[in-house]
Amino acid sequence: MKSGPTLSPLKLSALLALLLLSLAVVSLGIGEVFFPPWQWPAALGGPESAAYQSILWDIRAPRTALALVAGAMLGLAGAVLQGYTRNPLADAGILGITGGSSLAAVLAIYSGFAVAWPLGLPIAALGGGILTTLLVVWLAGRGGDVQTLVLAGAAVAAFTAALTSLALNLAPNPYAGMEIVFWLLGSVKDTSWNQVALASPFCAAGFLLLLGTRRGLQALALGDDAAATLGVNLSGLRLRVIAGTALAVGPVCAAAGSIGFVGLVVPHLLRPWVGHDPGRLILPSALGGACLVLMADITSRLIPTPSNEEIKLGVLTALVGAPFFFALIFKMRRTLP
Amino acid sequence: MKTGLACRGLGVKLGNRWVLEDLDYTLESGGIHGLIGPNGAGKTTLLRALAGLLPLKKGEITLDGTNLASISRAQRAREAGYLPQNGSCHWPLPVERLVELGRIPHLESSDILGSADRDAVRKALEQTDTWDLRHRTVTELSGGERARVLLARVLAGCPRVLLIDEPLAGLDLYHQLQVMELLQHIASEPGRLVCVVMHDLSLALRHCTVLTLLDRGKVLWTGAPADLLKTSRLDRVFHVELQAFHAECGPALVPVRRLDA
Repeated sequence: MKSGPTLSPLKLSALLALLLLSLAVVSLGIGEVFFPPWQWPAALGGPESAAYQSILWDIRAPRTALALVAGAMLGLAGAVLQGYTRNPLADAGILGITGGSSLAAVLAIYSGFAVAWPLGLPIAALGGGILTTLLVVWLAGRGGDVQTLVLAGAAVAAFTAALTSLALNLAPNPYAGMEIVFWLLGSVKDTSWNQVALASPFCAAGFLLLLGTRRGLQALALGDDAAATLGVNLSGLRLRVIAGTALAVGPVCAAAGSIGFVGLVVPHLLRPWVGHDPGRLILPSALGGACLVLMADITSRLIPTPSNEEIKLGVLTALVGAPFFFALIFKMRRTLP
Repeated sequence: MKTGLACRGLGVKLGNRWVLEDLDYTLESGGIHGLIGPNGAGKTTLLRALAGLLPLKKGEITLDGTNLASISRAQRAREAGYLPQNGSCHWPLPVERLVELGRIPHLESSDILGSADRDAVRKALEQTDTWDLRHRTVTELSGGERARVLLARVLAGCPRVLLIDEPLAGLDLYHQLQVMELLQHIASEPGRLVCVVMHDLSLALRHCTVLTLLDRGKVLWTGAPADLLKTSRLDRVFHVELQAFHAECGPALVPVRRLDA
């Protein structure tokens, strides 16, 4: 049997970038006020230009930007972690970073810190992500091996999840509990430029670090020993993966809550198109993740709900993600002997 | 200047156990150097140490007189290729792509292959009889086909030093001979250092220039294959009574019965 259809990584990335651009335009045009691009010049030059400008620039643009950045980081981290652990079930969650961010955010809501200061929540979540990363690094030790890192990540993730549940359990009133739950569901609604500005520099640094894992991930396909003799510094690669993931995903989690399944699903979808090469998967996964989260966010604005409250982003990505997993299992069953 | 890969007083500890103790070994050019010995003798550990994969508790390893640890990772990767035992590929890559990974030490960016890289990949595929498999998916190959593809990956890097752990595992008779002849051909090129861990003593006797017998982390014997049969140690080391037949192509060793310790 021949291997499946492949596109050159550049072509695939170009196609995804095109899709991303169109989705971004749609995202700016859709909402409570339908405002397609062909009306932009007239509206922005017309008598009510200030109101339209506010809708575009203050409400929809930061929301679109955050959805784009969040999706890109989650897709990117998912591709890198799957390549690094050589496990198709890995995503940013397995390092415990999203769990730590969530816990810190929940504590910020719980303690009122989040209400007292507008950027209190994202900064707490960011700090929580960094602290858990340090804990995972300390637990996993100095070696270069994948197993201990995954174990350390899983242990920390389980512990932060337990503490988050405890906080919910002890919530002083039902409203605090509700707020915590809603935050955990993940959303990019009501994003401000400040939040985007806070997340972006960290994300950019994480993005660059993770892009640099390309060669290491490709060599790791052959196993640790073969990779080391191909010149890969295994402990350096491990540090890069951890630091890159923490920098890329921590701020996203801080700004948008926990958005599941993106990091898991996107690399899976794109992997056959790059010939299963873990290095060539990295950039397309970032673009694909951005597309998926933008799509989910646009969908969340279009689906009417009884309470008029938008469906949360994390709920939508999981709703799309889980059936996708069913399909994956069926496909795996067919290829097994 | 001393040429070759040598270790002096080598001590390697895995966990609490000394797997190699005070071991001296020299790998020189000219023909295949075979490592033989029973399971757990330390053959794979020695090979991994020579590949720079293990921390040394004692002693040092030198390549052409330079301490291996002082050679940069990238330089070492270009000089020496290592093929692990029972190698596998974690992703269903096309065969050609997998062999291209062997060029990583020579590439600036791991995706852009020049004409020299393509030539090396093509040659490695042809040498291992895997050219026709190049568009297949590596995880769908048979065990023997995969073993040859993984060998091609190492050869594609054109390393001066080849460290190969049990290249014959899973191969049919035809491809066993083919791989040994190929390694012999490569080892005959000037300056090449080829060390192979082997279990088939008959093939080792026929194709290697120097054999080294390991047992319990120590070198018991080293010398020309023809002299190996003169030592009475083989039976005791392998705990098996061996009978030698002298065929036209060379000696063949047949295990007759187990000797209990």
